[in-house]
Amino acid sequence: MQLTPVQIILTVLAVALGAIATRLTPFVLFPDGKRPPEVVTYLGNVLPPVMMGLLVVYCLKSVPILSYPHGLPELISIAFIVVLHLWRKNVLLSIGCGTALYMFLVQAVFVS
Amino acid sequence: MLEKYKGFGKVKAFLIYTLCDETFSIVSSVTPPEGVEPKYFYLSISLLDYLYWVFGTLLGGLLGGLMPFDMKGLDFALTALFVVLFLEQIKKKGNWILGLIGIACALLSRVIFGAENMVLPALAIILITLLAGRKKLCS
Repeated sequence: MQLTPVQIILTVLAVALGAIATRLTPFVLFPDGKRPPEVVTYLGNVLPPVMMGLLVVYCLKSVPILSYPHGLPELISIAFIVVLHLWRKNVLLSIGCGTALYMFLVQAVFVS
Repeated sequence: MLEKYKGFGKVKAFLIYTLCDETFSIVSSVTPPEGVEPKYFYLSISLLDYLYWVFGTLLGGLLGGLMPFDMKGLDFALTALFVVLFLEQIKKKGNWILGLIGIACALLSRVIFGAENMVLPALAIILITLLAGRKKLCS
């Protein structure tokens, strides 16, 4: 479907407003002087690791498991990233090498 | 973030405006080094992310068609980023179980609701799990 320029601008505006609203809401509800309820503080403490887990799965949501290549490029690359990161503890190195390995795998090894 | 961004005055508005997934991931994973004012530490991360985003998008739009090599698979960089940040998060004491909850709830939602509709149900399942397990997870 081809969108008209007006539709594109309206879509971008709607998305931008939605993003700003979701980011702003917690800070408006609980300004500096006001202590948020304990349950909110609790969620703020425990959510970051949970969210990273969700984001990883979200990134992989469309990987085909039952058909070729069965998520193997993703599995191999992620295993590589985990080992490399635990070993060298260098964020950029892990992301760079992991992505390079993945690109190599999908372009040269698991060619469908 | 409510706690981290407390009392930052005018800077706070910009920090809130630029709090995307990636910035949130970094800000919640790292602590400001000693001798660096937290306000400017977080502001730098947010501002840099923002500029990378704007100029990266601009570059991609202008030059995207001219790439000399095959870009297939480059988008895995985002997955790699989240994998690394996940590792950074679960490294902290007692956090591995939380990371596991995130993955398990997201997988469950992906299986039940499918790839296109997994996010909101996943958030709901996560919320229920975290609230139900609050006593255990606090200790």
